[in-house]
Amino acid sequence: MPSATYETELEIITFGDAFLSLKKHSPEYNKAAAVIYLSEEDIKKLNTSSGQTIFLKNDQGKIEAEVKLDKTCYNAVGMMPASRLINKIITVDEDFLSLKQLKVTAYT
Amino acid sequence: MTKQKLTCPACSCFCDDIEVDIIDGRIKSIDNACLKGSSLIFRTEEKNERTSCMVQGLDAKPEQAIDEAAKILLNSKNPLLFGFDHSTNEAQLAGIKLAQELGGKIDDFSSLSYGNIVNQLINKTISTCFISEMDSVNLFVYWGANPLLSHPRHLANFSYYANPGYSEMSTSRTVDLCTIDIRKNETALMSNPFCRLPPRGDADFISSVCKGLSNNEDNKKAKDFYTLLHASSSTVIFVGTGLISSMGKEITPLLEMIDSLALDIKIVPMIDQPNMRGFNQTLHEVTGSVNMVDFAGSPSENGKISFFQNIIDKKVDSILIVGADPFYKMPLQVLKHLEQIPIITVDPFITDTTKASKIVIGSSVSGVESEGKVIRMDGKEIHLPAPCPTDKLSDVQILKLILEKVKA
Repeated sequence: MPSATYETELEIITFGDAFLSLKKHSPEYNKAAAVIYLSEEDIKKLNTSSGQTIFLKNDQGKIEAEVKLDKTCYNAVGMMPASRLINKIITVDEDFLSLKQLKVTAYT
Repeated sequence: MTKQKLTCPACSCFCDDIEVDIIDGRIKSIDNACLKGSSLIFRTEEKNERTSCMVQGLDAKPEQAIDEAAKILLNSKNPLLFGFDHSTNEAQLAGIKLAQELGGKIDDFSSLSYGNIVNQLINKTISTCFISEMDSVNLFVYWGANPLLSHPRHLANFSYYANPGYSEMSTSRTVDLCTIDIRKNETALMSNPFCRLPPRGDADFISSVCKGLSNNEDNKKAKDFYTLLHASSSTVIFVGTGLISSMGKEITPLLEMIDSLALDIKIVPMIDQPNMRGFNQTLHEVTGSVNMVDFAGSPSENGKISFFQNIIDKKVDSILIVGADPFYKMPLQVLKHLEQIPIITVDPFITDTTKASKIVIGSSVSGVESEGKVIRMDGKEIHLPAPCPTDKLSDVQILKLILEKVKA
């Protein structure tokens, strides 16, 4: 694992994107799914910029995503499209009737 | 070449103004469909995207795959039937009868999303209306929904742009579009106002709206929304998954807000899976529950145990999935529990789920190759014609054949 020089805690909120799921059998799917929208402040905290890659990890695993600036995004919140990629680290709540609040450590 | 009408089966809008050019029984061009709809319709023509019948990875005849499926289901003590949200009402009913016969469980994706709302809509404890009754509406609110990505023609065919009060000139427009969401999504960009709420901030926002203008000094957004609702003589709130997940599938605070405001406000769920409402209504007619039914007991009971929980608790020993792709949508944490469970999938297309299935039974595409009835998101029953009939079995035929084998 690369050393985490800059890191911050994020809550990931997923949103549905029908056009992404249309690509689910195409080669560009993985790249299109690996996108995270962050606030300006979180991008600064991670010492990164739009177009750069960051890592997201929790007890389920680790994924990589390309940073995109969203000035309307709340601080400490990352917005990602629902996809196979984010499913790798989504955790299920104890009553299993809903998905757990998805907290990750983001680092560069 | 013949031109035929088609009702798009891609989402719960079921747009009925689609025209297709058919040559030699196959679709060559499509008019009026959105990208989502045309993608699904054209996929029916892509042979490499269609399923054939397979048993343990080997090609099989439909009868052989159906026979093997019936054997697995008969030999299991706790079968679970899941999906049906892309199936017609007729197939859903056949699936329910099969679950009854097997004494198994049946569920769909609504147990993770719209189940509670649809249950209340069916029981008429929520005020709602058909899309055809929305001409007098002058405020459309998309709450936790982004129709431009989920239901691309919703605004144009059913709400804002289709409303008689809409005009290109904002000065003569008498209908408003409001979006409430955590992010400034594509629909929010064209809405006025857009209320941006923090994660899980919907309940607080609703509570603030209930307070009205006088006791709500700090919350400008809530005051503005309150004023907007009062300025409208008729409002429709389209409830999306964003609101449902924010409030833990419990929208009682929203209903209490509507009651306390005493205004003409209707609720319509922005159901994402095409015929989820059909499944909920069909199951409700048979059992009184909209999802999560267990036929092991007598009479059937609402086990209140979702697909996820059944899998994680290892309460199932075989799964029949019809027209759904849970392997694409489920967290890896849940998928890990499926490794030892035989899965039978009925689907017209190759999906992550068919790839993981022991038995695959390729079916026709409802609404393109086979006809049937469905229920639109607003509760209206729609008939799907079949402009391109095929020799592939429909999901209803497949389920009836499995049922016959199980009964034999």
